Amino acid sequence: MKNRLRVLRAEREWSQEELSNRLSVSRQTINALENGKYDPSLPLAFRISRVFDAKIEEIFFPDE
Amino acid sequence: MEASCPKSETSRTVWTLLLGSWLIALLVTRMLLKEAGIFGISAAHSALWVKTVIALLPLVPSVLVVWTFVQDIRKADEFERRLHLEALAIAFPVTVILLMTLGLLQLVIELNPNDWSYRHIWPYVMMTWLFGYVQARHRYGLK
Repeated sequence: MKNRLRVLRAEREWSQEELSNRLSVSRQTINALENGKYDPSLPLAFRISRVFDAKIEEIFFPDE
Repeated sequence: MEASCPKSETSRTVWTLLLGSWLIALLVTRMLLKEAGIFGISAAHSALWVKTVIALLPLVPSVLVVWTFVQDIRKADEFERRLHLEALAIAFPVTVILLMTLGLLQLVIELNPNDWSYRHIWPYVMMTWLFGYVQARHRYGLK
């Protein structure tokens, strides 16, 4: 799955560390998410959507 | 919805102390049970129950290591749990295959128990877990 995490984070000028603190996950988790190597669970996806004040489908897209 | 996971993994210092104490306990146990002993103390001719207690000494830090590991897993976030799961998915079967290989070899070859025996399971698991963890990190693009 693709996502706009890196773009959304850059728009807010947050570091990976800052985003990881806001989501209560490790920095390596943010790294794996941003690189599209790991798809989050639904609860984490909802937390991400809340942190960025955007709908899940505005952040995550299917590969197709 | 699942509560957020706090990031409070056991520090590297605690892990170093735990693994160090396990290694020291293992060495002290082996030396105490030998004729030469350690610092002039030997349990080689002690009562069986004393030798049994000494032989089981490394279990104390081993149990602490397991407890700490479980606590870390419980505190870890979902991605870290995935990494550990993949590491264990490699470590467990590889260790079982290794032990099975040793068991089969013992049918035909007399292996030196100081080099290869069931006493070494712990280091086997540690090594195969480390291998699995590095593989999992590599799979998810982490260094």
